[in-house]
Amino acid sequence: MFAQLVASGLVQGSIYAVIALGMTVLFRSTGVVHFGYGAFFMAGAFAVYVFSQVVGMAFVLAFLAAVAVLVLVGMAFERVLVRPIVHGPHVTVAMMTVAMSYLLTGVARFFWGQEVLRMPPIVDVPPIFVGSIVLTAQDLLIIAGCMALVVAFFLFFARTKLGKLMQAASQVPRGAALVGINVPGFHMAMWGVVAGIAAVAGTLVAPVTMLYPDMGAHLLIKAFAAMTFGGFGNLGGAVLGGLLIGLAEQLAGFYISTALIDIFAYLVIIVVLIVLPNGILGKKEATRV
Amino acid sequence: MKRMTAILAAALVAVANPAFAEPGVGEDTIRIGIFAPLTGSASIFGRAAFGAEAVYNEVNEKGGIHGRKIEVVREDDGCDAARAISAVRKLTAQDDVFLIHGGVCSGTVMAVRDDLERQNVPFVILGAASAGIVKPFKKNLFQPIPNSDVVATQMVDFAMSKPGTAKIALISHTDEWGETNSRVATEHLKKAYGLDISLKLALERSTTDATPQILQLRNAQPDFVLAMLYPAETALLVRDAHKFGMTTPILGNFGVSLEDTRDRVGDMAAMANFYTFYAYEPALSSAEIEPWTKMITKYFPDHRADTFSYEAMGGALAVIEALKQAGPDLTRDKFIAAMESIKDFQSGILNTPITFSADDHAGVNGGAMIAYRDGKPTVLKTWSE
Amino acid sequence: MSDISSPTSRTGTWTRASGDMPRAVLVLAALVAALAPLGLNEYWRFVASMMLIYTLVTLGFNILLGYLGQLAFANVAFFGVGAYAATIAMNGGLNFIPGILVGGIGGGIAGFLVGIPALRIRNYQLAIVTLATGELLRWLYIHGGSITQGSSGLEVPPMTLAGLQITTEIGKYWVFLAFTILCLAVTRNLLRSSVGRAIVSVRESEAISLGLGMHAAGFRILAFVWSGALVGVAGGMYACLLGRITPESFGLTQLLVHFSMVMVGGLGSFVGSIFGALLLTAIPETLRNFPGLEEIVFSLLLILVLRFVPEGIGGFLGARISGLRDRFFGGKP
Repeated sequence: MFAQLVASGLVQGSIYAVIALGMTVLFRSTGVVHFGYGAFFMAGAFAVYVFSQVVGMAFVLAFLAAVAVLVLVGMAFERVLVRPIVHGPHVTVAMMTVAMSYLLTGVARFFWGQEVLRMPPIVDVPPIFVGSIVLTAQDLLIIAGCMALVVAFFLFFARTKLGKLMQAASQVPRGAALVGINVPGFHMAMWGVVAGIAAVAGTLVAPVTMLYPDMGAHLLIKAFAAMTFGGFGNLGGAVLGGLLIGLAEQLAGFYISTALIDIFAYLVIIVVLIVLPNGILGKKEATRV
Repeated sequence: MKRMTAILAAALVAVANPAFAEPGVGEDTIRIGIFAPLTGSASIFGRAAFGAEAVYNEVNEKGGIHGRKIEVVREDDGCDAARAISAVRKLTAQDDVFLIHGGVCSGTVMAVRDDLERQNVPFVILGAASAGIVKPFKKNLFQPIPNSDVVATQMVDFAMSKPGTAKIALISHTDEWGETNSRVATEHLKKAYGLDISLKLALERSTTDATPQILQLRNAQPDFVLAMLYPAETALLVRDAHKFGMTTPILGNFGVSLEDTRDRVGDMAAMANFYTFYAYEPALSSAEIEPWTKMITKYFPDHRADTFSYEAMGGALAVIEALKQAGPDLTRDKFIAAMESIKDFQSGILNTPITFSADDHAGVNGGAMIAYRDGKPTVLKTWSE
Repeated sequence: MSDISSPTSRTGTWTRASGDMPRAVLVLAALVAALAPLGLNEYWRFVASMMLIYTLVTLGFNILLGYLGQLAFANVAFFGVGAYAATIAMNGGLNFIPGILVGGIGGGIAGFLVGIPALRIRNYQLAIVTLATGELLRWLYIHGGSITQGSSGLEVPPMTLAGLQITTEIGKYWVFLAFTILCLAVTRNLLRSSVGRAIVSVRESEAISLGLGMHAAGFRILAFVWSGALVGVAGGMYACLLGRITPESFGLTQLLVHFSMVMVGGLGSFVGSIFGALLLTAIPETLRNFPGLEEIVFSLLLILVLRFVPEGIGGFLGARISGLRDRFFGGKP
């Protein structure tokens, strides 16, 4: 029983972890917290749906097309809407991401608000029994896909020159510009990359949750909780936070009360930020004011 | 100062609504207002609006009622009480409707109920099923669909109609809707059969994983699971039950459609143990329901009819019947009296006749369940049928 | 108008604040606001009341977003707390006038509670925690048992004055107008007083305001409390106008409406807040015949404003009519 809950918790948690990771990467590299990131996730899932079910492309092609579209959307959003106002007050930038979240959700609702869209599983095989644990192929795919993304990003930030430069650019933009880095171009690229991550996550999750316009908003709160729990802006913290929240929801749901699952994320955010504002892995660091 | 207050108060109250003789009734028209969630996450239930409107269009095509054609004004409430209030203000104050056939979400109905009672506007419920709507009794308000008391009772009776049923588990949302349904079912089970609910679980709205709940159900091994859940969560339960190999029959509530659940679950094998409340006479996707579907798509060619599209058609037919009986000199009071005189009205679409009386405006007192049998939706009154 | 302004003139602040604004203009504006709805039908009178409510909501939100410059997204929480507090008080037998004030007090307390952690948490983290607070409160309304009556919501008793029931839209409108004018007057004076300047200076630089010997934390909390109180009063009025409140009215869609009103009106602009509220209350009502477009229209409008006129209507007009700027846009730095 416990093992099954842990397995399900890890599946849920790795979804939260990837979304939290995408937001953290964007925050670390551009200093912007993207309140519309959940909508990117939703848009990614809908894009795969449109390409595979409406256009009729093969799944792999549809997946690649969706990621490409989202990368473009992310870059265009940075170039057209964020860059011109990025030096304005925080409020304006935050509002811009909020507005774009509502816009994407509104468009999805306008076209598919009355429909229930189901994504067929990526691989259609019967569930796998490991002792008393039941896992579907989709579950395994989610965990594997999410972990692959996480590892790729860690390697990128820790091992590659570009990754290190990128972090430098976010912390001292002027210094980065002096040593010849194209900071705006860099930011645009990062917006594209994180939008692509959201599309991947959306594709992995869509067969499990089904498609609906508000699917991103629910996930966003969980991702915020994961980031907060792990320490805001900490890459490892976001991933660990996501996994822990996924696990805790399942265990608390079974052993304490199923009614707890729903508000767990909110409670984590409020309690952690008030008691432990830097999270479990966070260190005190100055944010852009 | 006291005098000032009194004058002020009098001024505020004095600008009253002048009561005209029968708003919404013209020389050759009767105006009916419809409000429902046409957008937003509850818009799937709002499809009822199109079924009702199709019935009204159909009667116009056949010459109308006493020489008058029905004019429908349709408003969106997004299932939000504030927007419903604003929609109803517009319908009564600006569009000047004779009666309102609206309300799919119980919250929106509760929000506009008292105002419409004050204005004596006949208010026929489109799809909201809460039993609280007709309690306390309102003279102007009619509910021509099975309400939550009827549904919860039917679910329990259906489970108990299987010989040897001894353990019934219940899984419910923790909001007021879920709690009310659970309470009615629990009380009915105790009163009629002397049984207690063996296990009660919560499943929150917008959850995407039901593992903890299914594991507990699997441990407890009940004979039936009553699911007081919304469509998305019901589908989740059915899907995860199948994933974990649980074969206990799951009974769904009124708001849950068989087809919609199948689409969400996407696996016919998972649907084998799922039954849901069903209000109609003809089974879904049968030849008998086809004329009703055609009636809707005739006027709304883009409409993809499913369970909720038919929900208000019986009520619309009852309204037409009452408008006929009220005679050519139509008044709101005459219409209400005519509605109250409707007895055993066979709409052809609802499986239970509509009956109103002077002190009971809950019109439909029965229902059935529907499930897939050999891949075809089959209406079942009892388990062994 | 004169009987509305007299209670405040006794404090002495009204006369000073309106020194540069011809009294006749204010009286005229109030008269127009009071009489204009007589030319409308019941439905548009109802919409006019909604405009008053959103005026207070927008102004209250603007105090935190614009004047204090904090990313505090708890506005819907204040609105909901105000509505629920007022309704529970009125169901307990309180008349609507003290009932609406209870809404303001409830909102103020909520503002205080959110303001304390906001002393430590800033920027995006504050945005996240306030967002979570709003959603947690909505969960509480749904699961509040007999206190909040869950999803079906609470019924609000009818408004009565001197034993008579106010059932007409115009009657309600006039009552709300009195509340609104009172709140606007007090807020305007507060913002133009040394307190208002202190709040703005806390936004510009906490270090400088501390250096000047100001109690930055105190002013910060005060801004939260006053914001909460204004929005709470609006929540109380909202409950009275609608006659029933449900949890669904205090969700994320409501937040989008508030955001748009503030940003379209202009951050930190007093008159802009009023414009934003009036404009964005009227737009969805005229869009009724195009269901589903509301979300898209609001977000597009918000994007366009942020991109091209980030200072909003208030800032835009204020900069162009510079001669009027000091008169109309009091409190703007």
